[in-house]
Amino acid sequence: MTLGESTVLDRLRLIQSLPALPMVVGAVTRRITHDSASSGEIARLLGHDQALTARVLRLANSAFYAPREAVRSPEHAVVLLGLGTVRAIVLKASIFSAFAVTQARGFWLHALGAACAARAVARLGSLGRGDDAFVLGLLHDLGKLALAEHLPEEYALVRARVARDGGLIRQAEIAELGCDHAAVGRFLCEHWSLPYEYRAAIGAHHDLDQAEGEHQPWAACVHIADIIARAMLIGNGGDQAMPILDPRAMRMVGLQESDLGALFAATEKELGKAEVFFTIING
Amino acid sequence: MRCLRLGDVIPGMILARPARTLDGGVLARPGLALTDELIGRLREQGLHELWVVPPGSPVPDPTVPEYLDRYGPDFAARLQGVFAAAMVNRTMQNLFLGALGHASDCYRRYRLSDREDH
Repeated sequence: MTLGESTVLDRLRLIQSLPALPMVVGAVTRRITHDSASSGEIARLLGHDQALTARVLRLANSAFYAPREAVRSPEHAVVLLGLGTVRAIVLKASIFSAFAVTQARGFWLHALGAACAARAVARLGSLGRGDDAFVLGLLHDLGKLALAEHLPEEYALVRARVARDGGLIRQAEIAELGCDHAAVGRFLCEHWSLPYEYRAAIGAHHDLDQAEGEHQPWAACVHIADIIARAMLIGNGGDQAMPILDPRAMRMVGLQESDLGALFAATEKELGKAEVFFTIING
Repeated sequence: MRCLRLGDVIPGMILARPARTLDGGVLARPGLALTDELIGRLREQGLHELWVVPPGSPVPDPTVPEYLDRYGPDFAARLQGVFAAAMVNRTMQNLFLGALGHASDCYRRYRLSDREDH
């Protein structure tokens, strides 16, 4: 018998250890979402968390950004990196460290591949805001982490079903649990008061109709990015199968089917910039 | 930059990508000049290939090695496996062909040309 979505979410709600995000993360995320945020303001907020500040400084001083002189102040680092990159570091470092469960390296590679693909989709299409798309791609499978950590026995059944029958992990989740990781991801975004477009994009990346009209393009962006990452054999989303591309998705992000080739090339280019980010935010 | 089998690596070559264990741990960082001793240690850790540049050459911009390595000689079969149940319409068929073309291009760029240069 499956648990059902309400049962799964109720069980997550009852878990006292479901982590809260550090206050600084919520503050930084909300301020960066606000168009008027200044680098000085973000740097001051970051200053409340030494570990995050250190990561931002390490990335700013890395060979990838190659500053002419050492970057010593958080404000200088925020200017150099850009607000979008800072938000990606803060969210990735905080959200994923909130889960103790050890994920295979393939999981992270898939997340980063989807992030790179989402940035390519946003930049080539009409969405713009490539850094926002990057963060959404990075976090899109957040629900899998929560399920693996907080319902380990049930999630083992999901994995066993995928191993036995093949197919998509989402189908196995629905069969075994009665809900999928996207619904759990949406629940976590609500729990952490992340911006509404995060909830919509993460919660609807497998079913665009789950997102309200104005947020559908972001859900479509993540939907396409997940598929591109799989088609490029980047990492492992928990299965070795391919979801069907929603026929509306490309149009929603201002692209056409004929742009798929350009998306592959643009994603490949983004991947070339990824290692330093991957290393430092995990370091 | 070339991906060489460990037996083909010559001391003095510079490591161009991190040498990692199977679970992702870094055994040696890019920029390191390879010695007989280090090559032997990496072999003991189960490594079969390394990304290297000739002695004295600059290390290229960073790229996650797994991204370069993901298209091995079996890329077409792997893609067919991933798409096996998804060829349900023309869009998905075009997506598969696009992915196959991209993989083929990457395989040529990242693997074959490097080996031919060598």
